[in-house]
Amino acid sequence: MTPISSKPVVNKASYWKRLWQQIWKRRTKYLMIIPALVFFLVFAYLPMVGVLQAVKEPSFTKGFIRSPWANPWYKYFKQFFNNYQLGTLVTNTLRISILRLITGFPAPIILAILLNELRSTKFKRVVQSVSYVPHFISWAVVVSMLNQLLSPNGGPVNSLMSLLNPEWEPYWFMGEEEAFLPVLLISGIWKGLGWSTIVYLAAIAGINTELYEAAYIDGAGRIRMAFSITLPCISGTIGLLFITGVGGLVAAGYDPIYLMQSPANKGVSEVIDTYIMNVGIKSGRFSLATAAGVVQGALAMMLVVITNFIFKRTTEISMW
Amino acid sequence: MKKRWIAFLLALIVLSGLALPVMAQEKPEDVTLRMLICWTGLSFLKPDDQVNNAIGQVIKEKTGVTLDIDWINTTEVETLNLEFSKNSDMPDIIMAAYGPGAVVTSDIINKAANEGLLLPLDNLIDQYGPNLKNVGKVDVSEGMQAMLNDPEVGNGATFCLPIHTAKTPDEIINWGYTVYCRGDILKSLNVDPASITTSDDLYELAKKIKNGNFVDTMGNPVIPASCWVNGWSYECFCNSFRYRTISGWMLDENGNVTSPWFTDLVEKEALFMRKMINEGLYDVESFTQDDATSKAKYATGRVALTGAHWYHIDANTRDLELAHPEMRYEPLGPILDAKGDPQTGANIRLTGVEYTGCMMLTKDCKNPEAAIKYLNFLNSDEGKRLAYLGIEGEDWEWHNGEPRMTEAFIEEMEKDPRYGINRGIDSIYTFGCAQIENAMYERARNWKKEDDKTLETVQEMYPLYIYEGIPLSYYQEQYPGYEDFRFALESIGFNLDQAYFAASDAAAIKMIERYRKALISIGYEDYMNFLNEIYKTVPGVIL
Repeated sequence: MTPISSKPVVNKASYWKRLWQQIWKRRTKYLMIIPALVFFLVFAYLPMVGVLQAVKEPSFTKGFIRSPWANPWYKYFKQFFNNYQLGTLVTNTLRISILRLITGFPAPIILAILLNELRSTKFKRVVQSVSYVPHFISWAVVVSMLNQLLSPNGGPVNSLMSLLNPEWEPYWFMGEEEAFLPVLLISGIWKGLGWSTIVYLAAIAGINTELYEAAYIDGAGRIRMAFSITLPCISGTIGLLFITGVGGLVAAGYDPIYLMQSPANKGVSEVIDTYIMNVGIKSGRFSLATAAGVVQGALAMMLVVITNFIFKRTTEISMW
Repeated sequence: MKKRWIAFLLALIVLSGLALPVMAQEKPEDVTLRMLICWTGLSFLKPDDQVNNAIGQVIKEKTGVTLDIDWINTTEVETLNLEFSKNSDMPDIIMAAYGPGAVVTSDIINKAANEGLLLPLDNLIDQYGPNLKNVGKVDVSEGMQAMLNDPEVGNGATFCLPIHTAKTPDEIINWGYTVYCRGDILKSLNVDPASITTSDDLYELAKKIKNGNFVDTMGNPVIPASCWVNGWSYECFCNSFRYRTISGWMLDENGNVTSPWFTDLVEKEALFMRKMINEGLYDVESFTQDDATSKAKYATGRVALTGAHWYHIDANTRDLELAHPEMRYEPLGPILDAKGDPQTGANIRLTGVEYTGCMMLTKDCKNPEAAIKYLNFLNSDEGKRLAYLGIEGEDWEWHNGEPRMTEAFIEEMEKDPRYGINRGIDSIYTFGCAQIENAMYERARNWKKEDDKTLETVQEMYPLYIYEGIPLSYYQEQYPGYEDFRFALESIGFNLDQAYFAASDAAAIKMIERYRKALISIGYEDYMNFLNEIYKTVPGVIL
């Protein structure tokens, strides 16, 4: 007698065949995924091999594979953690990142909802297009523009302030410690606002219009519909972007901070990213820079996992 | 007759047959060499046409070499690290700072030499560079000679050729670093330049300038005090608080080696600069301004007081001076240092240079023979005169056994201050010349400038102080565990200029005290004791 198994019999060959049939059936969609996969493979996963540099002695010619192991292997991690500035670096990084998240995260949601409320499609498109433009201007150009606009020596902003208030003393917006964070945050919002709305506008476009019609019949106004339909319907997207945004808390962003750094604001502007650049890359301490990057990456991953866990337990939103 | 013609033709053919190989040998092979000038702030020496300028054409005729020069936009350290890390497609020639006075770039260069990224030059010099044999032998300090001949670097081979060195100590350039003031403002305020001898005098003068409501050529209010790219060289304003020594170390009241960080000089400097900044006397923007922004300020005479050397000020204010001769900048001082001497960081020198630009051929150099022949030509008397003075007969001529610029050249320079550089004179081709007769070239250029005594004046204010011996800083790498110590030192990440912008005087002093504590916590006192021991026991060591 043949024993009867409690498990269903899975025919592996037919499973792969079915999978392949499904892929073939949706081949155009899979084709569209390929560039993204290649992008992440080339720019996100392959470079991960480079973390080996953190436990190797740097060499110009041998690369991180053939260069000798650091002795002890954690030498450069120890250097990073023993760093005299570590406390300041972490504090500054978290301060800037949290403020960026608080100010920068809701702004595109608000703009996306406002754009969605516009009745004139043409005007909406013009506003959208104009708001995307700053995204394509490099930080080097943006900071250069800010330097000119906010210069204490005849910059338009200081000149305007002098016209409005004859007592006004020229103010060095780009250098003073107390002005650093506002300038950084405002310029960050200006640069990223329009571009970040794309995801939310796409999410809003996917909302069933019957919901709005029903709400309209029930007497709901535009504001009520925004709060009771639009926001709840895109909450999944908001949640997912928030989780990934939390991952960025340990990376305050290198370009604008580095470009805006001056002796006057270094106390608040020296973050882990600028440290990696100044002490690591610029001074040729590639292993130390890599070790700092690895620590930063590991912390970011931990934050994402924890935030995702909390979201999963408290809401239905989760990345996995 | 016919036979004669045939014989003549045959003879012509034979002679031309003999002459052709000789001519072919004389005509050097055309080669373009890519050179990286790894030194920030030198791009003002770039001719408008880096290839087809007059001097470039002569050099090409003589050596076959055309230069394709890259200028750096970022720091020297970063550029060198990135170039060597590429490990391929490096420039043919790199010029970068090397010597005990340029520790960080020297470390990178040594590492590159040890990893085979730089070509050993000894055999090449033996074969193609007779004029290069003495380069780096007599014109550099003992410490630099030791570094160039270090058997542990590049297997003891020569891989660096120091350039821009002086032929004799008498030929060392006195750059004329000090604070300069716009001439018309000085005159208007009736201030004698020689009466400004301390940093506090500068403060008082800056206040007068601010209250004087002076304007630039465009009618904008003047900035009382400023500097050039990235704050260079604001330290001219702080000379009263700088204790000038070759090594940067000084002696305390007990005769022990100490750092200026452990004296009250740093507090005095920080409070002085705070005062200048807070009272709107010093251009805060200048600490981070780029080259173009800084030069734009001087183009209209917007800055009243500025710190730099005369060569830089002269080169960048010539157009202003042509249009407004009364605005010509005048040197103030001498502004005495903390010891009470007319010394700046630039007029105290060793008999040989402590560091300088060095030429290196990389392993990717496509034609090392041509590169050495090029450098060899530049180091001939003819080559040096060509690079520094131009073409004989056109740009300069002999006069009583000395060269001097022609009237026509001087006239062109008066019309267009960049005429010489655009011809390639005293420009990019000086990168390669060593053991320079600077004084003779200065005489050649200035023989007609009887009324231009600015350089002479500032050089008299700050005469050269030439020292002999090995600076104490040369021994710092011998401190046990120096690499780790240096990293700890760098990782503290504090520069005095941060204290200039502190919220209050008390906050500035607190920042300095915090830094001192940090220094002590990483073992700075042990390090000073080590250097003190060296200073007291090793003969010939100087501060």
